[in-house]
Amino acid sequence: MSKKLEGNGLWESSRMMLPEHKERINLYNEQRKKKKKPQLIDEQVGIISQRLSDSMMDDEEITIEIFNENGKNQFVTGIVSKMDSAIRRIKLQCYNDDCQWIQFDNIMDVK
Amino acid sequence: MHKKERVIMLVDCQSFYASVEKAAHPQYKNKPVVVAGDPARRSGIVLAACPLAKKKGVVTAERLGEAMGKCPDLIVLKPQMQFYIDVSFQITRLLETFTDLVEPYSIDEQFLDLTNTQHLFGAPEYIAEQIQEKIMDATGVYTRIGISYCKVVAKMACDNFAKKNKKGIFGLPKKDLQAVLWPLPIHKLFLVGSRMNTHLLRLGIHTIGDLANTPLSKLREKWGVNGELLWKIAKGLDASPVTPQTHEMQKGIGHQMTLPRDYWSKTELEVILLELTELVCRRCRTKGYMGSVISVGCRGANFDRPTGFHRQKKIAAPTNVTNEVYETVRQLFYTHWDGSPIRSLGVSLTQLVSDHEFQLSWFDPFEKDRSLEKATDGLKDRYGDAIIMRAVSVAEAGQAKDRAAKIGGHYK
Repeated sequence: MSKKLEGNGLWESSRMMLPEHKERINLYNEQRKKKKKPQLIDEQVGIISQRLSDSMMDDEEITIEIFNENGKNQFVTGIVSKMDSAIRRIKLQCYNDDCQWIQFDNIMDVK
Repeated sequence: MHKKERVIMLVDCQSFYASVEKAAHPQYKNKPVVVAGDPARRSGIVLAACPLAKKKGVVTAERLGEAMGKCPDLIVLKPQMQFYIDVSFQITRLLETFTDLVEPYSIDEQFLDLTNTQHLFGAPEYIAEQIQEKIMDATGVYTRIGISYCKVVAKMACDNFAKKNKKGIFGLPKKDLQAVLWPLPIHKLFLVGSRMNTHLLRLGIHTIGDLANTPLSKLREKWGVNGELLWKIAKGLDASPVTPQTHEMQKGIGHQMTLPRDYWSKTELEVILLELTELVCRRCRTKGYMGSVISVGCRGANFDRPTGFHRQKKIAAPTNVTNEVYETVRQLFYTHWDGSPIRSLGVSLTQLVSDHEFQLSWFDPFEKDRSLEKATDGLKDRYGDAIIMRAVSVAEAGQAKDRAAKIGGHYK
């Protein structure tokens, strides 16, 4: 029943920690766990831009993998309807008339 | 394979709050300084006293009036809890330059495991000196360090020896336990309070060594798990790892409040219960949790004749809606309260689950509450906890406004 004799139980049951203090520590640990976006090689960047423009030209459906710092990348499917090279983003037209602006620098892969 | 003996340290900050204040106020460097709960009131409690004040006989937890009697030129400062948390965290970061295994045990004590990094920095005593120097340079806080092969012995090495010697560093290896630790009186053992001390003395156990040599079965029979725990501590048996992620696991969210005076009317107590419920539920909502066990505790005003209770109840489906939790809180409270005056109250929510999915019901009586709380939480996030509160909290009994300005019951 009591966990005092197992693991870190002795210290967890006897300590005095302010909730605000715990939060400070946890917040930092969470930020530290966040992932950094991997650097893509030029070749991969070339392939990605090729596929994006193909999609726009041929109305071809593609699936884009978008980087997420929590480690779980997001996938969206649709057709590229606009490319704005000045602010480096593309507009993706999805099924249900939804559209989404995607920052080019966050794109990891296109299929 | 032979397992390498660990290198564990406990780093303890001397008179932490007072030291941090002295570093922030260099003009008080050679003056006796205390940090006190409420400097405006002589009945406030001394939270920390600097070594100069201690020399004049000031002790922690005494009333400010008494302390000023002993030391008329005492400098009394108001606590700044957020600042102390920041400095404590800064110390954690400094310690992380020696090892990634750092576990804060309280605001002024932290454990380190240097087993796998000590080869980079030198002998343990030398590392301890570097730590002392680094923390002193960065924060002005003097630290005392116990060194040993496990956490509990490092803690006792710090409390019983490092705090008392000139260097502030004490290494207590396994082979010295019998010679160094065992002759100490039993109340010097970690976790032995005044009550346990009396019990142990009555059994003829006067020193730590006496306890270590008592048959385990006898202690188990008498005190169960706690008896076994003390025996293990006396023998220096503690395998617990230094666990940096220890604070991430959240078993429950609870809030407790000590009232400024005794409350006994139902209306007043209900205000406090509602405020506590709101705090707990809001914290759950921010963190994305719902709980299904609700507990309520209270303590009477008379410390000599303790009254009070702590009861809990499991509800059908987990929730974090204030009004829903409050229904159960009220019900629990009125079932168990005997009507005597109350000095402190607490509410908590446990058995937490994520609030990403919840049971939908056709007639959800709390649908409105949910959207209302979303709006009020948003306001509080943006403008602080005092921006919006329930009307009852503005009544004389309410504590919400006062509490919004505090951490751990003391000023932020």
